[in-house]
Amino acid sequence: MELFAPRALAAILGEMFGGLLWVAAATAALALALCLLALRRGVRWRLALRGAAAFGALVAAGVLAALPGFTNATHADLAGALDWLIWGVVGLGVGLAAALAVLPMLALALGERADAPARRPQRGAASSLR
Amino acid sequence: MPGPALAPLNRRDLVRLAVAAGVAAPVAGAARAQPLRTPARVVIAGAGAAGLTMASKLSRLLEGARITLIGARTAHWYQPGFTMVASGVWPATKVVSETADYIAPGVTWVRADVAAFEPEAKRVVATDGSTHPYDALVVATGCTLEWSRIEGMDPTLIGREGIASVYAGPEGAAATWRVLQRFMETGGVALHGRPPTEMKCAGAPLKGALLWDARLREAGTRGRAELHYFTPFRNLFAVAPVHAKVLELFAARDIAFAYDHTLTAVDPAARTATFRTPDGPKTLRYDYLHVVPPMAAPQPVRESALAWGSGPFAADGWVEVNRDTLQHPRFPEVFAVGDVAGVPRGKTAASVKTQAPVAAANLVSFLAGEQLEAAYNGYTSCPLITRPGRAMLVEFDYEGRLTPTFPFIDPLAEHWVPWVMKDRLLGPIYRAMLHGSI
Repeated sequence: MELFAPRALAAILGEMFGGLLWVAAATAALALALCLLALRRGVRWRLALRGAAAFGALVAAGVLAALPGFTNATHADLAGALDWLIWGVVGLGVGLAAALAVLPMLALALGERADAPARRPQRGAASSLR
Repeated sequence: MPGPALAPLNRRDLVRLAVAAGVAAPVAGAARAQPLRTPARVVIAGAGAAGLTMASKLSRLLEGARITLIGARTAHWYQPGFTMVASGVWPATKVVSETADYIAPGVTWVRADVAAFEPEAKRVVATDGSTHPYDALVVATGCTLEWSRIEGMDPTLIGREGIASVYAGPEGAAATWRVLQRFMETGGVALHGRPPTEMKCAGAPLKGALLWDARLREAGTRGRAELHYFTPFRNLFAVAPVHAKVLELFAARDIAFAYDHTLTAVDPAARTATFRTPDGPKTLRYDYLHVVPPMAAPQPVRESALAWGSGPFAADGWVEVNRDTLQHPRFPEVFAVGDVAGVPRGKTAASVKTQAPVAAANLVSFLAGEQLEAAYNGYTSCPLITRPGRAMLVEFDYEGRLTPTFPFIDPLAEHWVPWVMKDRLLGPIYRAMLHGSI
């Protein structure tokens, strides 16, 4: 159907979020770049994942609590499987997005693994140590 | 089918031009790969939802055409949001924007209304005195609210004497909420209903009755209020399954209703409303009266040869069109879209969204000298709000068949998801429609 064509969906999202879409795209690009940087540095992913998961869970819980109110409704208005499914998918989706956004920052902040490969010294830095 | 008189090229030249540009003979009903090159003069009468959408669509489908949009109103009203304002969910400012924000590039906007249609001469006269000859005309003037057909009724009464109406613009919707708030405190008798004419969004009065019942329950004053709904017809909604569902809802909410009742007079001082019934006039006292005025085509349409001459759409002067192609049968260069089109149903923003691509594609085919392939099936949608937070997404066609866009949503079940669509999603879809993006 025409409404579900990618171009139509993009137009509707553009009308819905306006400039926020660019902010979201920039955030995603930044998160990706930081992720690549973290991968190069050999950071402590496991610890970062735990932290990001906890943050994502908090965000998801907040969204699940606030979502009906955001639509001028209450939890009492949710009726049937469809409503609860959409409510859950939106809450978990936002939580997952928040976790993914914070993961590389957290990973970089927590520092490198003890067994991380030593980084190649920079030329200028090497000469100054002599 | 007679061809259009195009200046300076004739239809055959245009077809050759189109072939040369590689745009002739598109797949039936499909969008053109490239715009049609044409010097045609296209006039769009009306700068509301239908007119703006047609201007946006045609500006994408035609290259070199002179598209003129005629409409005086500088503020654009998002009319599907009026019930949200009238029930205190949205502020009135949320349904008002600028017409200029939706005018497509290259479209000339004449800030005047249409004073006269002269289809025999293929021109339109505007209220500023300017005349606009055309090779193709889109009539999208919307409809007029005929308050004067109710004796004693005047739109300036809305917001006073217990009189409300969501149809009187954003201010009328906001005034309706104020009147309702007072009624929620005092209680009493509330009268709702619909007019005997064709009307825009026939679900709105039903939504009103249900929403205001919900508001009274929230306020804890429902026990002090009597709600009544009156219809001139023998049903509450013209689509049978929806009628059955509304009967069920009215029974559950203790909303009384009566058929064969047409509001004919209002006495604001005495707070009485008079209805025409098969048993003669019936006068009822009210504390809250929601007036839905009779609706008709604007006078310049009614007085022109464009209006239906006979049949169910003649009395109120709706534009005669083929209900499938939206093309005028006697003036083939004329198409009608939106409220003014004399077709069954089809007087909602959702109808415009479905009609506009059909009318635009057929108008382009007409200019190209091709067969008209696109067809409108009568699609109309009504997010029937049953209380703040819940709605039913009712969609149907000419035949009264339910045509759900989302097969996983039961159109006759009250859910939060359709409410979310009404509250958050339909506005962006509407704006995308005005911009011609969908």
